[in-house]
Amino acid sequence: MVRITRRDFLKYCSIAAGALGLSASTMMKVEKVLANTAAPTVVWISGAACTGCTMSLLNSVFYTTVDDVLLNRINLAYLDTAMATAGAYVNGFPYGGANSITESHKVFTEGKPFVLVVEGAIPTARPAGSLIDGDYCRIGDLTGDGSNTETVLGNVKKFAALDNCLAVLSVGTCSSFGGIPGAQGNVTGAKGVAFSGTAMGGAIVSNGSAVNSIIVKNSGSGYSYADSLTVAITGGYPSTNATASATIGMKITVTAAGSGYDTANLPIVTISGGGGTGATASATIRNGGIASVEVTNQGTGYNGSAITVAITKSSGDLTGAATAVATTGVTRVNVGIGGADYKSIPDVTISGGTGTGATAYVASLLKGAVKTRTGLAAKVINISGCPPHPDWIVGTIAHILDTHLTLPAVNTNYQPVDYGYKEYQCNAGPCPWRYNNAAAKDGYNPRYPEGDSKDLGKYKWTRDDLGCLGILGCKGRKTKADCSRRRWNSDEALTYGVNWCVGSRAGCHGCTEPAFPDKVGKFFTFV
Amino acid sequence: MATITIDPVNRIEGHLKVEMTVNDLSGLVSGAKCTGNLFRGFEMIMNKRDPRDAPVIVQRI
Repeated sequence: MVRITRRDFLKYCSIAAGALGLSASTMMKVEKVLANTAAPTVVWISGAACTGCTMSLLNSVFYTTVDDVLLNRINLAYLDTAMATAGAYVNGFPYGGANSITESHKVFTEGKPFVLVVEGAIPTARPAGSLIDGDYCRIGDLTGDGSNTETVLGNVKKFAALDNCLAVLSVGTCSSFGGIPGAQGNVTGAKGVAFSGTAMGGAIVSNGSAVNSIIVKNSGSGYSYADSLTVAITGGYPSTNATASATIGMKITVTAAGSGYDTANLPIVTISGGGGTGATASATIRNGGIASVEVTNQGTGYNGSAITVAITKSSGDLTGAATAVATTGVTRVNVGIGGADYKSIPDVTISGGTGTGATAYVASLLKGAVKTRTGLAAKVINISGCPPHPDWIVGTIAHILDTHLTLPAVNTNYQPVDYGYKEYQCNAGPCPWRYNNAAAKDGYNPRYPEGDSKDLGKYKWTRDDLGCLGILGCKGRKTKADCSRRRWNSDEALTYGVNWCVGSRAGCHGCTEPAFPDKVGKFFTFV
Repeated sequence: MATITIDPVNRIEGHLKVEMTVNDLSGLVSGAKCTGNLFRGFEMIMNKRDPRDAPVIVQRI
């Protein structure tokens, strides 16, 4: 029996932080971890958080239980929610030094590799009367007399910038994207770790914006199918320029609607000239006239010379014929790469080719759609969710441990695609309400609205219907998360959970998305 | 007069500070104060929102 002093006991608790109701036998496991120098050190910092993410993590059973993670897999150096010690024992222990939870630690003194976990948003604004940014949230006491406290912003900056910081796991939507504390109207300037911009020291990617889509304003005329057009995207002060290409096609504009078209006098569209062959089109009748003509086959070889369009009737009646003109121009502009860090909407210029007059514009910028990670952001994995599913957290941690500290693959939001963020909620499960046969038999149309709000008028849903919850504000079709398959509150290893929000007929609030909570829209309104 | 500061207080994810002053002669606590070190401004965030959204947002306190 080794005799330890009370001081040593508290020291062990502080280092291993395993005080989740430690008994004497589990205390021995703590010592095992202490002996296991291969276990990676984890420093868990809480920012503007509600601790819901920690609570969610404690529910972990799928890959392994949380006490196994904390006691046997990792060396949890600091987690203020779970550790036994407080106050001076944290500040002064375990390694003395500057009497601080940060500088006193081995990750600073010995350069030991570690993983930084951040829970909660990072306030970046400076309150009135304060001298430091991010003073809305402080942890720790540098001097022990209350006169010199450190902000979460300062702590995260200090830890993330270390060379021996292998990864930054942003656990929860707050630390990933700002979340609730970063919602519209906040005064604290709360942001996610990777999106805290220059406040994080400049090396972390700022809240970059990319070109989302380009809309053709005027398709122009006289273009040849063989033309190779240049689409220039200029201005907007990006760090990486966006690229785009133009598609040339035929467009038919009705100049006179004509009359007498009906089921006995169906319109027949004939396209001739223009140097090409094979183009076909179909006309839509409205009030006996031709409302529009849509090109159904673009054909080949059209070179920009004049095209003749005739809209005859199937009965052979020659009176009241509609007239239309066909032009070859830019029908679509496709964004290649979206670029990064656009500060304002850039201009689009289309040049080259035989035609004239094609113009297009950028409709909107996609916020936070940075395609490449640079600097400190390259270390960031966003395990978003409010809270994130414990499997997403533990799965990511287990991946990092099992692959000898390599990071899992991420999507453009830096979420680990293999641990929860691959598909939209509607498809991942799939959602039980996406197509409900029972409801269909009862005379309801339960079909998923395919993302078109105009379709909703066809579905006379009420709250009692067992159809898609989209009309009640469910954001599942815009939310990448696998709740619909994985579900929550599993009670057995490798077994999926018992239910999820939408499974209990409560719409998804899109809590894993960067847009949560503002840009996913009002929670109970269709967006 | 001795001052004892506990910062951070554990189990409350680190955003609480407790300060006490103890009288040297009597050994009695002569003053104690408690500081919340986190401000998120939920009241400001709730401004101008759909009232139905209130429980969804403030449950995250």
